[in-house]
Amino acid sequence: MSNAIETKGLTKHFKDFSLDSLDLELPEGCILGLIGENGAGKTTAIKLLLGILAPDAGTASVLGRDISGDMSRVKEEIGVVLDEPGLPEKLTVRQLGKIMPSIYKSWSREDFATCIRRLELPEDKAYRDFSRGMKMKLGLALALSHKPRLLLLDEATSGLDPVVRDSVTDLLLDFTRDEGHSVLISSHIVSDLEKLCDYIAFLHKGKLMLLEEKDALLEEYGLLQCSREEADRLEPSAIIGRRDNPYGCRLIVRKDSLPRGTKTQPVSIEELFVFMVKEDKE
Amino acid sequence: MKGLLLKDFYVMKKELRAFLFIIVFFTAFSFVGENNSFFIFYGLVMLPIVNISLISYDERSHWDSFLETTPVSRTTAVTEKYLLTLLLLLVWSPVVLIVYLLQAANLGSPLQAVCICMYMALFFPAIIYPFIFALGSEKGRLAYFIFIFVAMAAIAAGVSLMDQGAFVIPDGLSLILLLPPVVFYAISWRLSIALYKKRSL
Repeated sequence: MSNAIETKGLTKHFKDFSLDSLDLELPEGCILGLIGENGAGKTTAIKLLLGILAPDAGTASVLGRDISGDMSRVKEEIGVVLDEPGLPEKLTVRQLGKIMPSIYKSWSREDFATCIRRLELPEDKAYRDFSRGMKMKLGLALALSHKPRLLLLDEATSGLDPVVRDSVTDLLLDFTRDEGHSVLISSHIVSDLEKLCDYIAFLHKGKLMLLEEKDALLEEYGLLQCSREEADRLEPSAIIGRRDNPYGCRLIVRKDSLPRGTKTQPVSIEELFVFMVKEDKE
Repeated sequence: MKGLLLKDFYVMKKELRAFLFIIVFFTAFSFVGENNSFFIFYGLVMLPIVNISLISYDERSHWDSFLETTPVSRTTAVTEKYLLTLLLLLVWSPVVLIVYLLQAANLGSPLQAVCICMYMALFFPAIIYPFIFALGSEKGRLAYFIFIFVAMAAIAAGVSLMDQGAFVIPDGLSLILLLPPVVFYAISWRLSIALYKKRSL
């Protein structure tokens, strides 16, 4: 299986922030969730992948094309929704439907009409009168209507109500039914990604903390409630995160490093992320 | 390119009615009183501001960032704005010429009027657009207003001299004088592309 996205040591320095040596792989046909707090470097990573920013070091390829070259052809095959979709306030869905065929060679009026119908968007209402949810749905409809092979979604589900998030999730799951279709979705709302993703990456302060298959991740890590004495007796390398409370400890642990017979509870991606980030701060 | 022009047309229709009203008003004002030929050309000076407002609108709505995610290159994005200025000029110049012929026969030949049109409509944007594509519309617009204040004073003085018949440009010379704004506009276009490619969005 080839990779839709591949980065090696991708680095970008700003005055007050650096994305440091990012190594990512997204196999074709999969969904990768890029989880990170605000300012972790998710948008920077996506901008680098689109060639909007030039990296200071490292390499990356998207759909087999090196990002240091001309990206215009490969952008035909990428659907993008940024945190702010970036559409003119006074334009309507109908007007955008007339503009886009000149922007994308592979624009499909039928696909766009289907998306608009499915997402229940009004055709003649000005974009500025749209709610946040409607704006993101329109961004997604635009991203899906030019036969993309890859979707890059930057905080596309943030600020949406549960009903809209559910319809967006359905749309993305439909998209990835085709084995050649891949999605990179970044969010700081972990629960959204937990439902969708095949792979999970944690980004914290510009550094990749973890990149693993979701099922393997949930299999590999567990939640352990025990006394402080029991926690202190564990192999330090087994403990990913630790929270002491008056009744003992809550630990995120690597299951294979625990003494045989130790029983753990399943851990959620959100718990894993929060524990790892807090551990890093301490 | 066609999609970008269409987008600007839609935005212009809704956003910039006030500008269009000002242009029409000042042109109409040129019929009031005598020696008001300055107002005939005022619309031409305003045309680049219409375009700058469109660029500013693109920045406010993050349309420029959206375009970065599409196959549209920065070269195309810049070229479209230069082309739009020419299209606006193409639409408005006949109006200027008709008004000029109707009321300002003492100002020289129509060719001379075309020459003035070209200078006003091309020279100003050719100077200001590279600033805007390099710095963004807000900083660029400020530079433009400073520039336009000085330029308009010079033009008003020049037109006033023409009103008094102090100098008339011979037609042969007018043809040659058409070249500099066109060449300057073309150089400005290439410069804007180079500067915009370097700008971080």
